[in-house]
Amino acid sequence: MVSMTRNKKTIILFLLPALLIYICVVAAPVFSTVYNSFFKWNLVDAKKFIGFNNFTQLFTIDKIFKTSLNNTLLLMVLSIVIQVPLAILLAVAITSVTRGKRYFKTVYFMPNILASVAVGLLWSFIYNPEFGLINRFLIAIGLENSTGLWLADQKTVLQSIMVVICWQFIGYHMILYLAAIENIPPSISEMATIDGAGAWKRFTGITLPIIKPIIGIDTVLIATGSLRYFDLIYVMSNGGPNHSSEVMALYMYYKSFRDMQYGYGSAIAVVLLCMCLLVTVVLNRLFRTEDIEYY
Amino acid sequence: MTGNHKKKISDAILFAVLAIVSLTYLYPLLWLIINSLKTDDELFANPWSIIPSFQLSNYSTAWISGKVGISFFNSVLVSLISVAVTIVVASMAAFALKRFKWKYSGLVLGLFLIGIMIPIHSTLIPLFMVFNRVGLLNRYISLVLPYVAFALPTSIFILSGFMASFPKEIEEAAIMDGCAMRGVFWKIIFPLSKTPIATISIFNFVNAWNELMFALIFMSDENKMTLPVSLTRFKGQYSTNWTIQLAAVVIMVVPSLVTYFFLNDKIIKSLTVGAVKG
Repeated sequence: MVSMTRNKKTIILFLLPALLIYICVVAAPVFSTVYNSFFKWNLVDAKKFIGFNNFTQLFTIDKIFKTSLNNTLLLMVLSIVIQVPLAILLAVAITSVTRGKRYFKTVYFMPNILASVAVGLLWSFIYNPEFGLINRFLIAIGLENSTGLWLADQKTVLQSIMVVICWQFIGYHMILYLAAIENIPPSISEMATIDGAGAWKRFTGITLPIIKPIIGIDTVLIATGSLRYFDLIYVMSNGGPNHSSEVMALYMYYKSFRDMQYGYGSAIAVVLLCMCLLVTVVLNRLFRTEDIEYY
Repeated sequence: MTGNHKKKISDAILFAVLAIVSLTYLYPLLWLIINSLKTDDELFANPWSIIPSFQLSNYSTAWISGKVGISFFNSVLVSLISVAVTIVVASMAAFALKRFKWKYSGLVLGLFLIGIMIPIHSTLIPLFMVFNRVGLLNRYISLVLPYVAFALPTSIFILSGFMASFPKEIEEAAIMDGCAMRGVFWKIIFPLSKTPIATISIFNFVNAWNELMFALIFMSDENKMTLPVSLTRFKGQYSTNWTIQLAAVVIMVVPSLVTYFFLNDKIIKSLTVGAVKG
């Protein structure tokens, strides 16, 4: 490393663009949002300080916010509980199968690179009650009574969206577990096999404990990502029918940029931010393990 | 049955199951492309039919009167500029953070890394207000700045990891030859960083190409919209012209798929490397 004193100017010069952009576009606006959340602000009347009123309104009176909060949390839990086991399962399956590993890996990951907007639109068609694949398929195999309105039905909209979330993102998590599993020295599982351990025992006794840190990282990723779900829901159901699929990011968007209640919208954003930070801290603590040593 | 025979059968079953699952990923895309070439009546009559009537007019309608062509151009422009700026700015920052020894370098790096946790929603309103006031709404820079800013944490993280990894002899040799540190960066370090720069370029381009929220809020002018926004408008304007919508989706999705077809290993690695180390 070169000493600082001679190069102070260079360091500052090189650091400044990134620091400036980051502070002006990320850091400062966050503080600004927190500040704004204590105001009633709609560009027509004067900006008025109202203390915690926005927050009390959110958590006591606002029924739609309550729905959006519940939906967001529900989607978060479902996203973790469904995607993590399935992704691990797929990763194990791909490591075990003898042919086609690369093909499966590539195909399962593919939806990740597509825009959620495109994925959402495509699946809106698949879910279309009249000509969509799902209903037509059910009719074709004789299950006409199981057809439904899917995205247009309060009872099925969240589940329908959940399916699309899994479709798009499971491949991503699978790749993380795949990398973790492939890092396990084969000698360990060989020794276990020689000792007579079956596949399931090897999985629960060796694989799972070793990939536990990755499960932790992945869970944090899913949790913080699910708090921000917007694109898919905006395109597939727009929070409907009747706010039944409303989520926090969507509600914040509409409150701020359609209803022009910027103070209130800022408060929702603050709640979202706090939840992101809280979830990260809590989950990191939950999954904290020591480093693994291989003997 | 011998053990080997049993293993072969279970392997075959596993393969079959995985293959069927892969169909659930591929078939929707196939369905998308086929049906984007049908007329609405054809689609309604038989969504399963494999041979469409090749209505290329769906594409031209989407491209021209649906303004998908303009949006495509806008997306390309915004994405390329964002990636280029991010590469330069992030590698300069990583250089300053890791190739020099100074007291607060760890603190500043930590400051950048906190940004990984921050959701964009907590910046939307202030940015919107400021951009509105200075007349930057519906200008490309209103998207480039947020895209770059939110790309910086992960990009700097990856680049600084790289920059910490090679010996200081490299700079010292150049300095002895009379090169100032600035020259050292542009002539030696930057070219050396090709691999992490490629990684960063990929995931930043993908994120910029697919991004919706900023684009939705900051670019409402239909001549400046990016593709994702244009696609959402489609739902309103052509909401009963299903096949034209499908054509628009294909236009958005095909560049990603083609790139993925050729670069899949690199793309997968790029999008997931930031996650694990973070």
